[in-house]
Amino acid sequence: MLNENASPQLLGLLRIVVFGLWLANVTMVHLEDVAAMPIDMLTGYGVLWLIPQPVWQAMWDPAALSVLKAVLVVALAWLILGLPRYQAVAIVACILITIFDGMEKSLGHINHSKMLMLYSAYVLAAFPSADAVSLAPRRAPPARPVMYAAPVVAISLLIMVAYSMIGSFRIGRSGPGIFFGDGLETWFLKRSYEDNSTGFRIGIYVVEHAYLLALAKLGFLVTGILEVLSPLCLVSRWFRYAWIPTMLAFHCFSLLTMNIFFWQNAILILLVMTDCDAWVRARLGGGRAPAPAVG
Amino acid sequence: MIVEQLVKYLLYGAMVAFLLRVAPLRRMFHELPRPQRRILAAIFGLILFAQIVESKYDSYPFVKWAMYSSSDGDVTFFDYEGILADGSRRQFPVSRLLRIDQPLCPTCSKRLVWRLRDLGDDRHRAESDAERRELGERYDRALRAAWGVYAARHPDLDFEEVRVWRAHFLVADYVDASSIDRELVWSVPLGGEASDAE
Repeated sequence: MLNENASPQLLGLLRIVVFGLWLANVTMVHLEDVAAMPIDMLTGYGVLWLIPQPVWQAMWDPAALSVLKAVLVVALAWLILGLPRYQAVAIVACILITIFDGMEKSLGHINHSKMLMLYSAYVLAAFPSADAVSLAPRRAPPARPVMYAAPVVAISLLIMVAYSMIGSFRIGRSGPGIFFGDGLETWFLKRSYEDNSTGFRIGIYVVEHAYLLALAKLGFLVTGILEVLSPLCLVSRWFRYAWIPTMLAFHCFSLLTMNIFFWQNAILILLVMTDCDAWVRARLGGGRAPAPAVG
Repeated sequence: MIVEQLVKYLLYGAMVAFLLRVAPLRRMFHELPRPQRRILAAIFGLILFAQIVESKYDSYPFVKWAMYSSSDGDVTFFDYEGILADGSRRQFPVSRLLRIDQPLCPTCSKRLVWRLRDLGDDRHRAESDAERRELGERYDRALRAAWGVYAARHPDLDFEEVRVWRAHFLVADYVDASSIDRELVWSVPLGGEASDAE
């Protein structure tokens, strides 16, 4: 099984990457710009509905936003470095990044952007993810191997389940015809013509050249099938050899044709779907992997 | 509709059934202490729940996973144009207004684009004058707020007006950019009242 014997070193690297991605997000997203929009445009969705309205409005004050950002930067840096009291800080950080992300999405259009990063953070907070690749002294004795491997497997499963559900929803919603109709043209043209910050117009070029459009539709069909079958990555190395480059290529192609890029997912795929534990262990001083369980 | 739901549930069920049959996965789960088992079960359970009930707003942060699942062959988008005091025009880049982009994370900045698009669409489809007026006021407030962010960053630019153009075409009729119909639907004189150009 993929990542069945994942080491504390791979888990530690995953911790650094996931909380590092959140640190990048928190430092680059300026919620004070969102605060400039009318407050009635900013809605706290889902769990954020629990926040009382006066508190919600007060949270958009520039001073409050600065405090939120500062606390998050400190907490995330703490987790990346693997400092003591990891689990307590991780739980607080997970609550605050849920609020931060929810505030950014309060303009509307809740989607699954950054959700894999968020769920991965939740998983990492529940396990001893700072026992390796950290500045804190390693606990004595170390936790059982399953406590290091299980979160890595869980994060791999998050990716497989998410991609499979996307593919299943698409086929259920529109049937196989979605791959052969005008859906791809519609999305390419809409996402290329509408205002966007990356400015790629390759989607328009593809639509205006029939042979390219045919190739794109074929690619869409292949990607869609592999998406639905994503859970096979858990048990089949050969399937992963097809799945990983296809999904990475799909993400790159989506950027060029639709100005949409889930690059954080691409990083997570490279880290947890490529069975790189031996490589990570060799470089981060974890020794040889234990022998796999028999039976 | 029923067939659509059945197909989705069958596929989700097949995915879950497959994962439950992976013996090393079951073994690993059972070896975990109870708190970690419960946390993982809760996370995956909530993800599956949100997907089955197709929720995103009410169940955030657990949202449905859907992307490029349907299309109506209709492309509508809005362009925003600023008119300067000297009469020259400048594109009003809504997608770059809010600094909520990470590097290469264009999805984040699209939220304002899509929100303004929805407000514009809602007003365009209003069924009564009263509804149109109310939606127009919300739209006006949103545009003025967005313009305020832009003006604060470009104090050298003396905008007099922001115009909103609604662009539309059917994919079936699309040949090239000349296939796009554009109509002026809203203008916001920055010193006075907005006007409905529709």
